[in-house]
This record gives sequence, structure tokens and C-alpha cells, in this order.
Amino acid sequence: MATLATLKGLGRELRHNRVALGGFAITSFVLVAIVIGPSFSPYDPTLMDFTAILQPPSWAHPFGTNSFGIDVLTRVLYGARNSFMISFAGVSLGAIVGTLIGMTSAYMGKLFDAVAMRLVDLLFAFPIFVLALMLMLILGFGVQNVIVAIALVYIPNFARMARNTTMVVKSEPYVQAAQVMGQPRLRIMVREILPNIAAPLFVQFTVGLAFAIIIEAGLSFIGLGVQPPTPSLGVMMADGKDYFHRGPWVLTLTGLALMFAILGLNLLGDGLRDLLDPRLRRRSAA
Amino acid sequence: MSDVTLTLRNLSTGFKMGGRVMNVVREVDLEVRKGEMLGLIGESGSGKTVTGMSILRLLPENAVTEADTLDFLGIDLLKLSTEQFREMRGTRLAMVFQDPVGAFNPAKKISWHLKQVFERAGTKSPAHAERAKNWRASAIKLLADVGIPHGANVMRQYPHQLSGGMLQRTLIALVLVFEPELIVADEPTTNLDNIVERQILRLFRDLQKRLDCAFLYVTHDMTIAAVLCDRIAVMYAGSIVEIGPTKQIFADPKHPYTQGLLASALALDTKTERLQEIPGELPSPGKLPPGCLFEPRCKFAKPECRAKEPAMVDVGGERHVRCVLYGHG
Amino acid sequence: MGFLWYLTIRIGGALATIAAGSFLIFLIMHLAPGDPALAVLGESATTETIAAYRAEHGLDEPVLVQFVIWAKMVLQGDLGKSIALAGKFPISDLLVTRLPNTIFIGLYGLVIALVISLIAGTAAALRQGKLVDTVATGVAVLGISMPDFWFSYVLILFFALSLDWFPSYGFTPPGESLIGAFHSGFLPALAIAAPMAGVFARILRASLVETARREYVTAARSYGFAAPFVFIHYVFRNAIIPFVTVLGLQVRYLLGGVVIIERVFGIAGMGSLIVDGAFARDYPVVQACALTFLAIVLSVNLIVDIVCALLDPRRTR
Repeated sequence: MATLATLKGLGRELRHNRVALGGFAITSFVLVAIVIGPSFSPYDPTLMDFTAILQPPSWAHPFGTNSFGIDVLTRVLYGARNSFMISFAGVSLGAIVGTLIGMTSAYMGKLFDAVAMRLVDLLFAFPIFVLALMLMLILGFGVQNVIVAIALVYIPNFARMARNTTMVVKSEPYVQAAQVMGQPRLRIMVREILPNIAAPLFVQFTVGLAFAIIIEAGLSFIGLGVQPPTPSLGVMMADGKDYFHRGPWVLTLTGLALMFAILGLNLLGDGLRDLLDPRLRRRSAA
Repeated sequence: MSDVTLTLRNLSTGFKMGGRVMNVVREVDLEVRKGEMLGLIGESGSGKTVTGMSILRLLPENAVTEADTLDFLGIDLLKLSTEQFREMRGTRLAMVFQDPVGAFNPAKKISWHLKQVFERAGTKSPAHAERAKNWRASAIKLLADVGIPHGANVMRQYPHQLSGGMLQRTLIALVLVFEPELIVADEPTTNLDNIVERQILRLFRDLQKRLDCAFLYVTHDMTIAAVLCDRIAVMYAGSIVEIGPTKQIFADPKHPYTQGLLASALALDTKTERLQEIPGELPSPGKLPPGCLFEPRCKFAKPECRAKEPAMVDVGGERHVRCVLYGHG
Repeated sequence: MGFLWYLTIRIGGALATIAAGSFLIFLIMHLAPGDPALAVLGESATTETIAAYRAEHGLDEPVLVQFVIWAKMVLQGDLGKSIALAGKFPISDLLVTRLPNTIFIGLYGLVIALVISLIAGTAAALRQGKLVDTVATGVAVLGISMPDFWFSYVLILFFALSLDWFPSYGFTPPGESLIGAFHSGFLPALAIAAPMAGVFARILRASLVETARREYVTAARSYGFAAPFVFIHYVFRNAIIPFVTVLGLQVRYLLGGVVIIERVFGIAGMGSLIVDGAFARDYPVVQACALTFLAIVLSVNLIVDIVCALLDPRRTR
């Protein structure tokens, strides 16, 4: 339950950190907007209106309309919802697998550690889009594969971080005590170690989510990710680039909305990181 | 009073924390005399290091130092500009640091450090210019003076390749290039093991005899003060609580805190900074008790101790104590 | 441990990684659906011709044997032939024309990012808490929050479509005209550089601020060294070591950006080659490109390790 206490403590300190507060506000706003926003929109995200094709931003259409006459803002809200969910699923998967590998590695040591960490290093040596691309060749294009691709990108990050922090926590007296008392390994890992390494992993998760949204957008943008007509921010921008000269607002404003959401997550991550440990800043700045 | 090198009157140093200044050193009066070694003693967090750093203006930007007098051989240090003060540092005022490993630029060889200091010296006077020209030979001689016979080898090394004791000697050599008139030594042996510590202490005693300079020796260790210092100033929670000649303080400690310090020193617990003989903890600068700062931990505490902070009382024989047991000043 | 010894270990490690990595790539391609024989020979192939092809290329052998066959070919400089591209080019010929373009754009972007981040990061650290710092860190966080391909369209909108200073599409290879390459490559390089500059500037600032708190900096000031001297030789000199380390970790993101940016600007580089290859299910091309990318990342990491070792005597001596 130390995790809850840490998170509560974080919440209290959050109020005194302007960066974290700003990030929290933006992220909350974005989340609310993508969850309930679409139901407030007078437009349908799939209904084509050929009387209103490629209209520039106006009061009726703050982000303009696209080549099918669909309101861009409405689509952005739907698309962002998908992008968020895909990224969240991807980073979660990466976090779970990575943390598991990292903790086990630190805890088992020896051969397992050596092999697991070399594999992680290997994964780390691939440019992210190359990794995703090869994955697409096996699994085909589509949502699930974007999730797996994002997870693959983040497994090394989480594995390394979990391993390093576990190494530190492992030598703490209370963990040593639990070991001496003969508690099972799994129990020690879940009850004693995990709560104590959760905080930095949580920060990594926030920042990871921000970049995962960029990865999703990038993959979908070049056509390797989410496939139209499913809206995602990347798909919409790919669509917008086709008539960029005639209607630049579709791509630019969609991207701007994306940037706003990512900015919120990045600020939140920065603020949390400062609160947690100023020394952490350098190690995981990537 | 021409033999006084440094005079502090009413020196206070604090750190700006979210709009307000938190004082860590409060109303300190001190003088360090030529040729003397003054020990500044206290627990960690008592403000002794900050006092030393304040004198050399080495604290970070959020530090605020105020004083009525900060006089160094007739120079009012408070009036010097940043640039003028920088000229004084290293040449006339110098500092030896606690962690010799951390005090060297890890990316540069020992020779680089010496060369830089000699080159700076070279711009000061013709005599120094001559030494700067042959800086390598001068450096080797200087290293020999601080007990490093094979200076040429040491100079080829990077800091991390040398032992703590060797680095501390080298650091002292760097300080001695200019023969400063005041050396502040901030726990220079705390990070060293026992044998090396004793060697470095011997070096300090040699230096004191050889050089005509004033030392402010900051330490938490009474036994070091006993062998090294001519006089001792005991610091508690940012204030000086007792000051006087070493022999007399050891023979007859007046302040209850000093008594506790001596008791723990006699317990031979020289490496830990915690004081078993004195119950309780050092108050934090933000939450100082009313009246006498030591009252909450003092076994002689009386109701009047809480009324107001006692003033320094002259108890004769160059001794001063800040405690109501000895009158009200 | 001497420097040469350190170097040997690092190079050995990189070679081991590339061996393992190439096996991983091979395995992934092997798992990918579709019969390579069918892909090469086309739909009209008969069972006999397919069987003959499979036998000739060792496709019926176990994976490991196939891998060894492929690895031998790669070591001899033969990366196979493209399936999809008309004329069935040898892939090594493709790489020779494509790789320089990608390296050019990548380095161009890297240099721009370095220049921006060195200036912004240093200024922010020197004026910590002041306006310069706030602006620099603010712009940096905006930089890392935007997708580079989106930024490239913003750049196109302003500098190509409105101002017409740079072309919005197409790239002159450096082999053809160096000036042309710098001109036509500016917008793509800037688009890759912007998020990177944000990351770099933040790292540099943090590293400088942390180094400035070290005791050796206080010690340097106590010797009376001038502030600029202390900053250059003590603060910057030591802060640059973690900066370069993290910089090396960014290559894989940098190359990720290149893949997309090449498509936006129509640059005939490795990125567009691998993406086109993936769409055409041209496995040999994807395989060769992935291997090349892996080699690039490992080479950069090796260079970064060497630079760090030169900068930081504690690593090798």
C-alpha cells in the first residue's frame, strides 16, 4: 500500500509545482474533451456533407471541414480517443512486460539477468519505426499491431528502469529482512519491491504515453498503423496531407491538437519527476 | 590588534527558500589571529561549514550573508566587488575541502590543476611569473613539501587514480601556491581513513609552524581540535555557544553542550557525528526553540532559559560562554 | 584497463549485437507470411519451378542453416535481389544510392539540433530561473511534444508554400550537388532537428545545473579562477559527458524520424526504401534495410562510447 501513500503524497505536492499542475490541468482537459466531447458535437464524425467540403475554420467548424465535408474538430475528438486508447494499451503492455523482465532480472541475477539484459539491449538498438515495420510484416497492419509495436518500443525502457531501481531497493534492510524471514520471492517482489519502485515507473509511464501517441500518429501517418476509416490522429493527418495545398488546416490543426495533448503529458511527467527525485532527471530524460 | 587576520562581527547567513530567508548561521562573532589555528566545532548541520563558505563567498546564489564587520587584514570584505573578491580568493584566502576526491576536476590530470593555479599566480607578481614559467618543477617541489616525494608521477595521474590522502595533500599543495594569509579547512580529514587522517593532521601542524598564516579549522571532532587547535569555538544551531583556548576548554568546559561534546569525544566515538551523550536532536533552522537554542536538550535547563536567548558572557581568561549558568553578560 | 582494451571490448560487443540482431531480423522475416519462392517467381510459377527455386536457395533447410547461408552472402556484400522492384535490382546497389541520402539528412538534422541545443541549453543553465531559462525550457518542451512529420508540414506551409525559399518536395542528392543537397535538405533536416533539439537542450541544461553544484566547481572558485574559466573547464567539460551519452541513446528516435520525414519530402533514402519495401512485401529489401539501420545505430553507439571514453578518463583508466 506504499504505492497509494506515495501517490497521495505526490498529489499533495502536485499543488505546489506549477509545471506538474499545468500538465495535470491540460491532461484532465484533454481527457474530458475526448471522453464527453464527441457527444456535445453537433456533427457526426462519419457523415459526409458534400455541401461543406474543405471549408476553412469558422465559428460553425472551428477546425474547418475535410475533403468529405466532415467537421474536423469532431473527428479530432474521436480520433484522439482512439489514439489515446491505443497508446495507453501499448505503454501499459510495455510497462507490464518490461517491469516483469526488469524485476526478475534484478532479482534472479546471474544468467537470466545477463541474457535478458542483452536481449533488451538488442531491442534498444533498433530504430523504433524499423521495429514496428517488421512487426507489421508478420502481424499485418491494424490497431493491435500498433499496440504491440508501442509495447516493444517501451519494454527496454521499463525493463532497464525496473532493473536498476530493484537493484537499489533489493539491498534495503526491510527487503533483506523479508528474505531472511524466508518469505517467498514472488511475495517479496510484489509486496516489498514493487510498491517502492512504482513511483519512477509511473513517471516513465506518463512520459512514455506522450511519445507513444507520437509513435501511433507516425505509424498511422505512413499507413502502417490504424487503417482508415477508423479515425486516429495519424490517419487524419495522412488524409490531410493528400489535399494539404488546398486545405492545410486539416493537417495543421489536427497536429496542433495532438501537440496540446502531448504537451500536457510531458509537463505532467516533468513535474512528477521533479517532485520524485531531481537526480532522476538526467537518467531517464530520454 | 594588528595580529588579527580575520574579524567577524554579527555574521548571519541564510538561504532564500520560497520568498523568505532561512538563517543557518546567526550573529556569529569570531576573530582568527595570525599564526593561530582556530577550531570551529559543531555537529553536522550546525552551520560551521556555511560559516567558512560565507567568509570566502563560495555559497550558491540563493545564499544571503550579512555582517556588521567582515574584516580581513584591514580590508573590508563586504565592500569588495565580485571581481575584487575573486582576486582575493586563492591568493590570500583559501579553502581546503572535505571530500578531496570531489574537489578535483575529474576530467583533468593533477598536472592540469597545478598548472592552472601556477599560471594564475604568474600574472600576479614577477616572482610568481618565474615560478609559473617553470611550473612543473615548482609543482614537484611544492608536492614534496606536502609529503608527496614522487610528485612527477602523481602529476601524470587523473584524480580518480589517486587515494584520498594523496588527493588531500595535493589539494593542500594547490592552496599553498600563493601562501594565503587565511586558510579555511572544512573537515579535511573526515573522508579519510584513520592512518591517513593522522598523517594529514600532522601535515596541518607542520604547515601551521612553517607558514605565517591563520587557520580556521572546521570539524565535528573534538579530538582533532584538541591536538590541532590553539583556540576552539563551539557552534550550536548556527550560533557560537562557547569560545576559548583549547587547553582551558578541555580542562573545564563551561557550556552544557561543550560538556556533552567532550563526553562523547572521550567515548572515543570519533567517526560518528551523532552525539549519544546528548539526548535529542539539533533543531532545524526553520523551527528554532525560543530562548536558548540548547534548552530542549540541556540537563540544566531552567524556566528562564526559555525567556530569551542568552548573551555571550565573558568568564575571564579569554573565554566566553552563551549560557545563563554563568550570568547574563 | 587501457583505452585499447576498452575499445576492443566495445567493438566486440557491437559485433555480437549485430550478429544477434541480424538473426532476429532473419527470424522475423522467416515468420512473416507468404512463400518467398512464390513471391519471386510470381503467380504463374509451377510446382516444379517452385521446388527447384526452394532447393537452389536452401529454403527447405532448417532456419539456422538458412540464416548461415544468408549471413555468408551478406558478409560477401550480397544482400540479395529485390522481389518487387522492376528489374529485380541487387539490393546492395539500391543501398549505395539510398544510404548517403539518409546519412546526409540525419547528420544535417543532428548538427542543427546540436547547435540549437548547445546554445539554448547553455543559456538556460546560465540564467537559471530567469526569463531566458523559462523561454528556452518552454520552447524545448513544445519541441518534444510535436511529431516531426507534422512540423515538417508547418515548415512547408511557411517556408515552401508561402515564402518559396525552399522546395516543398524532392531532394537533390549530395553526390549531384552539395549546395543543392543543403538547400533541398534544409526543411527535412530542420523538421527532424526540432524535437531532438528539445530533448538535447533539456538534457544539457539539467546536466549543467547538476554539475554546477559539484564540489569541484566550488573548489575551482576557491582558487580564484574566473567565472568563464570555471564554466568552460569545470562545468561544461564535465556536463558534456552525460549529454553525449544520452545523445547516443537518441539515435534510434532520430532514425525513426528520418523514416517518416523521407516520405513527406520524397527523399530517396533508406526510410522510404524500407517503407515501400514493407508495403510491397519485398522481404529481402526490408531485411537488408533493417540490418543497415541496426548497423547505423550500433556504429553511432560505438562512436558515442568512444567519445565518452575520451571525454571521461574514469571510464577507461
